[in-house]
Amino acid sequence: MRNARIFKSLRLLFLFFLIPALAFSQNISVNGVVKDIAGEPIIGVSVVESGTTNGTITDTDGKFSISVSPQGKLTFSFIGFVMQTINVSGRNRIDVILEEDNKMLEEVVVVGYGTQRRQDVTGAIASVSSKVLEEVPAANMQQALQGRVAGVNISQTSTRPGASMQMRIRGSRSLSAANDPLIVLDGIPFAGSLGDINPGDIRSIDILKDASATAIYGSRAANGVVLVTTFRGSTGAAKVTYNGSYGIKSVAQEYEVFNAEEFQQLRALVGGFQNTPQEQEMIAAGKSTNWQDLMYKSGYVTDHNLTVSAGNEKGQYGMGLGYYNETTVLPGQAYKRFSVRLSMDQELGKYFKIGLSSQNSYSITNGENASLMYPTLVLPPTAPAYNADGTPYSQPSFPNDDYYNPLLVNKPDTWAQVRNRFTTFNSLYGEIKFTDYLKWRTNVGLTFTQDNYGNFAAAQTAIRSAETSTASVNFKPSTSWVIENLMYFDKTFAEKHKLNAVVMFSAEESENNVFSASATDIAADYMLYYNLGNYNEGTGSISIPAGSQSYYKRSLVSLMSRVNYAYDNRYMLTGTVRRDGSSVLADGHKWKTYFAASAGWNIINEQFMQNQKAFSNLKLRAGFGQTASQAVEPFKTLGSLAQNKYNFGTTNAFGYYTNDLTNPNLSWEPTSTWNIGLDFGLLQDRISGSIEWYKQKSHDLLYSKSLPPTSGVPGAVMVNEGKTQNSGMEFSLSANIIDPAEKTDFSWTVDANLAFNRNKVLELGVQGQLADPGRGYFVGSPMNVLYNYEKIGIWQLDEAAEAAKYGSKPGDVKILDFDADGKISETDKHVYGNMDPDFEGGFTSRMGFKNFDLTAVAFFRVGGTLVSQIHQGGSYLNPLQGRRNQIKVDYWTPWNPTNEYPMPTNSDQPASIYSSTLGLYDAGFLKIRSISLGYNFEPSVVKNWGMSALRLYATVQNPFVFFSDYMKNGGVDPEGTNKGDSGYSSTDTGGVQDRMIVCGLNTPPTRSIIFGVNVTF
Amino acid sequence: MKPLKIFSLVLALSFGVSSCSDFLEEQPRATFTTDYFTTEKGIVAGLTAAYSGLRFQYGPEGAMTITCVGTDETTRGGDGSDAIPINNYSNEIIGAGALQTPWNRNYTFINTCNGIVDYATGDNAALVAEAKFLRAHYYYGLVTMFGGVPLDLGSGPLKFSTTPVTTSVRNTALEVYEAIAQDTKDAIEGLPNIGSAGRVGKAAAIHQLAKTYLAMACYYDYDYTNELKKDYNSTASYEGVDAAKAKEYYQLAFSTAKQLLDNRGLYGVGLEDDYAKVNEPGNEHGKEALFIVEHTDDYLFDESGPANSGQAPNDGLKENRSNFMVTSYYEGGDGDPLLIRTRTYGRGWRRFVPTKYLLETVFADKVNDSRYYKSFQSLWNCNNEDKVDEFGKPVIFMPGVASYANAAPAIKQAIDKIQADGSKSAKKLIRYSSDYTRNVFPTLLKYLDPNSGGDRDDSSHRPFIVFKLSETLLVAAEAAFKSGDGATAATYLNELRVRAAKGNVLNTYVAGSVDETAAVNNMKISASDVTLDFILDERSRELCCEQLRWFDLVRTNKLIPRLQAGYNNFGDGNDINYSALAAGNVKRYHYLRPIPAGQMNYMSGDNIDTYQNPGY
Repeated sequence: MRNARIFKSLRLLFLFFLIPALAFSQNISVNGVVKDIAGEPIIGVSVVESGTTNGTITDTDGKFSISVSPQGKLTFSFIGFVMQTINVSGRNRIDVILEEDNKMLEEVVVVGYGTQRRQDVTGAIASVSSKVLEEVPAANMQQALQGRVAGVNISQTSTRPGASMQMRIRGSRSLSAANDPLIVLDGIPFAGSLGDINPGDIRSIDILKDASATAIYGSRAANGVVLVTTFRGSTGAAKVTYNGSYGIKSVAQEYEVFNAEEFQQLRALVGGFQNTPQEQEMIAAGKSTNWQDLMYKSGYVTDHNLTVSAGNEKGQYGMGLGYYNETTVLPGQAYKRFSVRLSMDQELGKYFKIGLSSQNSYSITNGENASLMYPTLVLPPTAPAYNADGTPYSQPSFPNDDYYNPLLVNKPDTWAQVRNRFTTFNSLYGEIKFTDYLKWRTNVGLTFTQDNYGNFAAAQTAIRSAETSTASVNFKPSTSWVIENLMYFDKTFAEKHKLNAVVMFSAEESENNVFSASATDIAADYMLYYNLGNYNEGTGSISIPAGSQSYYKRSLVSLMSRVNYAYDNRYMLTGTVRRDGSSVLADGHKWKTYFAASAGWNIINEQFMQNQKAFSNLKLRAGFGQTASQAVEPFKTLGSLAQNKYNFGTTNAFGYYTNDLTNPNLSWEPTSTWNIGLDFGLLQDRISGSIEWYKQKSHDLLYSKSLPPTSGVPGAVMVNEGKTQNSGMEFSLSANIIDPAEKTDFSWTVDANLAFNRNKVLELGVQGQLADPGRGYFVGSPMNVLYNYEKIGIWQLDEAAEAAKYGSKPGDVKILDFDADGKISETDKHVYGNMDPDFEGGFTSRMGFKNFDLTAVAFFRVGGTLVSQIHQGGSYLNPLQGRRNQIKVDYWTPWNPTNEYPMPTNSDQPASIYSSTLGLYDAGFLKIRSISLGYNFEPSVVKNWGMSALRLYATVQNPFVFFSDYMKNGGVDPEGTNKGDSGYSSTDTGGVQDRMIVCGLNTPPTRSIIFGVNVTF
Repeated sequence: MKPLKIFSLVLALSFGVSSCSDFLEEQPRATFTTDYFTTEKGIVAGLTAAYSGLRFQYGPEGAMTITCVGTDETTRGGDGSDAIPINNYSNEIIGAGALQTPWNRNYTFINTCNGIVDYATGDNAALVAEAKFLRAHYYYGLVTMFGGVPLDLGSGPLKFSTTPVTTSVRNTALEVYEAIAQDTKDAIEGLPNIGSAGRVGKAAAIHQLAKTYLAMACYYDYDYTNELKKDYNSTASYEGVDAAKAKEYYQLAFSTAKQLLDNRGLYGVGLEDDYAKVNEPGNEHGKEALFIVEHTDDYLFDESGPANSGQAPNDGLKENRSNFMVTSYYEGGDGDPLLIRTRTYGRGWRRFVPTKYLLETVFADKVNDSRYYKSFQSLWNCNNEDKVDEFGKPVIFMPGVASYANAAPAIKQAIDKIQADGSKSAKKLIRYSSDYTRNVFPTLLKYLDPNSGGDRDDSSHRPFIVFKLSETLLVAAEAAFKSGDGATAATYLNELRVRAAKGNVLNTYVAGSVDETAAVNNMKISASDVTLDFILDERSRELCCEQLRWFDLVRTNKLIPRLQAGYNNFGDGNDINYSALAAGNVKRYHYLRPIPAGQMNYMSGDNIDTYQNPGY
């Protein structure tokens, strides 16, 4: 609404300036009506004969009348709409439909606790509209944002439906506290997960990147702030829209494993494992099994959104109903979400305004932990999948390997992994307008989330090889509330001095608890996890583990003030101060005050720029500010005991011992940021963009410090130690490459962005500690690096003598003797393999011709190291042993002297010690996210069908990946498919930490073809 | 003005929320804080935790590995790679996870015991005695592995640590031994004569004190911690380094052990009649067991989970997996397809295998001494019910001899019997020592857990016996022998040997094939038979693979000579990769294990460079 009001005033301003320009000349008379896409007349559109000062404006019915040369051209322009030029060609009647200009919509920026004109903004803020989000069909907004905004790194953490994404704004800074940005939904800090927000409800996303922009959120803003604004009501008759799509998903890339012949070669080479009688039969019959083909089926994705909005000058409402359902190529994995949205705004008399917004979602995630992929890949291709009677052959693995046929999971009641999540997020506000320039506003936010997880696995299946079934439940209710009181002041003095200030006081609290229970040997499989009490007495058990229950509560009190001052639209200053008090920090350290200041210079508005044509926009911004993080779990300053168990004969007992010690000095983790930005527009904004440079330093890092075992305390203690730094540059560019003379001519625009971030650990610990290998942090290196031995090849036959010096032989992994002491030992481990890309970016290309539009979205990363856990020995997917099947690799043999992978042997050989050095690839790639072809029906045509707009489209998602070293070597997805702790891995992870994103074993990536429709009634 | 009134109301409301002064105060509700230890219930819970921590030390794979392989009792088996560097004393030993467990876990429970001792009031004297026994036991585990370790965890020697401390200073091994002796003496004072189920009584503490004195005697005798002669890199053996001190402690060890042996009735302990009963499933609380680490069928309180379920807490590091370690993979490629895996025959993880020296030299006499067949499985019958014609018939018989020709008559009779009764379709029914592989070999019987409920592949739910009265006899014998009293030593050893002569398993194959009366006479030794090597071999016969061997060899300076003599050999071609490397690599510095990297990485202070044990 705020946007609309600003528009309204801008429109009037425009009108005012145009009136003196009106003139009259002897020509033909042209009449017509100008309407918007919804068919509403537009008032005040400027209608000018091109190349002259002759012009008029439309009246209250959108009508105009002008006298022009019959060969002339008419230009229709209005702020917020795309300008159109039309040849008169002797016509007397010309009706025009103007389209809303998204770029103009973006001109108003949500800045947190208010909005600002883009030209007044002094911080680094990126804005993304719903139109841009819609270009990539996605389950959540992060998927749609991936690669779209410079400096915002979004990575998938899993390829399964419903998986969350990891979002990093300008890198990571904290070693132990969270690095996730703060999400603010409709002005209120959002306690839920981004997956709870239906992307179809989002009107715009504004990302605050630098401290001068984020300082208003003080203690939670160090990792950036994402402001999500949802659709609200609109004025005018009821508008109904429906967007729906349905797509088919198929495997984009299968894992490469050895086929039957290759597997037999491997097994024969190693010699330690004989074929089972079943395998011998298969081989004799010349048969083989492709387990992946048997397991993968096509999936689907469907998304439906219905919205209604209406209102008048005094009150508006908006409603939305959403349904999203996505399955994948493996059985039992799916994500479903229902969402309902309601918003209302109502003016009460002259002084008051109230409103509410309610976002509700219910999602069901199935199969989020299932590891069907392991048996699918490692069962021998020579083993049968089915018995003679057509039922699945239950144990095709090597004797006593206990890997069951994954096809067994298709039997009913074999397994269930279901997460039900209900979230209701409600925000209410009341406004009192004392005068034109003074306004009071109170926001209240109320969130409730119930997250329930149930898990069941029957005995002796591919999910669980043990002889008894297992079931567990986990219930987590969360509540949070926030109240904010704001006073706004907004006034222009002496025409040129614009002063805008806001003062806020807020308090908030969030609370949750977890109840968790599990049982084994459930009496009947069909009960799944619905009654843990029904376990088989004697063989089964039930437990409510103390370590799995939890209670969290945290609260925050804040005072904030921000002042914006602008002089003559040329010089802008912003100053912010905020003071926060947090419950999770130690007594005496709970409060902290932050400052930020920034300045902007609209060079384009200077006198000396008036006569140049090249620049249509030029603005320089600079800012400095401080923010912080207190993103640690509650009660960290108090210490805690852990529980263990024991039995004295038949008497059971619980024991307690000190697990965490107190830190009475736990305090804030501050981050200071410098930011310099340049916004530019060239050639009447045909080319526009911005360049940002930043440098951030975080110190007194919240660091979960491991104590030496001799401290007698196994848990870590949270301390403030260490320093990190991020610096980088971001480039954003929009180019109107082919600007059509007529709306229906060929048009082409491109948005592109490019960014790099250099991350560095400057300090660890207080006593000059240089490394924390256990957590993978090293002074002078980025946070995400490997620390391990380094493979430099495979020992070859002619190097046998040299290899022997290192206790190796030809065919073994050749390790870099880093300290050159003639032996390979712990001291040869070193830091290498930065997992951050050298730079990354994305581009969107939009083409239009007549009623067709073609959009392609791509993103890319250049440089960096990709860790493929599936290629490492510890994953058991590349043991080169012949016991099970495995990822296909180019292994060494005397007759194949490769440098890629070592000689297969039985696991006794030392080569397996260094198998964690395998599987490193260049992380670069270019991925086409989506290509969409759409057709917009003529408004005049669809009017007859009772619609005001209709668009049909087809999208292919994830069609291509280019330039990927990893894909060329048998990888399935260079983007990363897992976090470091989620794949199959052994204790020797080769330096990979839980937090790192790696390519591991997961559901294969999919490609979809989606057909959709957008209708407005 | 109406708006202003509402404004004031809202303002009042919002400040009302925050003016509560406790809005930012925290109250945890799902966890205890350390204040809990100041309560009576907290002290009891702390003691329970300290008992529970012992599960890390006795029974898990790592605990078995570091005490069994790389000795004359077992060598590297057919599966699992963790045992390789430990067996081979190779460079990679420094990274071996199994060695980290005692270092990483013991201090936690030492600190818990510190808390009990510090916070206990007069009413808790018995609990304090138990805590001191356990603290001494944890320190004994550390000092015998790592040498001198810190007695001060941050709040002063043997004080409860309440502040996070990253510095650490190691005491000398001697100082640690003295602290152990003092704690154990205090424990003997405070403990009841007879402990209750799973809780120690005086007998355990007296045994611990005797072992501590014996270790201190060896400290002066052989300098096995290298603290006295600082000779780390050689393979030298010393004896009588400080003969006077050594003698003093041998005598203390002897008199302490004797105190227990002379008062068995008072302390409620005694030898079982039959060696088979000592390790019989279900008899872990029997009279011969002085101190046990408990386990139960109840997964929750057993801190285990159904096999392969991934549900065991602490990644299964508290599971008693002793039943998997020296267990044959009888149903695998080297075994016989007529066999299937059962709880009775065990889960063949074959992490390590008995050495040729143990099977053939230590247990050379399998006729008079019944302990071989009671310790190792010789017979596997067809247990696959699908094989109707073969079910129940012998499939594998391992008589434990090199050939039929050199078998004693009683053994020959058994071979003949099995040959006649055995399955005709068995791959190889009679397997002599040369037929053993690192996958299929005589399974160690003492830890198998055939009776407990749960999954076939479960870890053992049986308690692990840490101290046995039989070991008290061996301690007394060794101390007496070293004090020059070979006759007393022989008397104590004969107690065990006479018992061992009874109830040979061969008699269950062919009734009456072994004459027990003759066996008893044949087993008896005299003072002149007693040597240190004889005592060490007797320890193996009585207590092999019971998490004692590595330490016993180190303590007596016998590790290096025995490895060099090839006692770690299995007797196959792979010895070149294991026992031969072990013999070549082992040095005096291996008497102490490396301090784990985790300690170095998280420690601060200027002593980091000197903290590690020399040689690593």
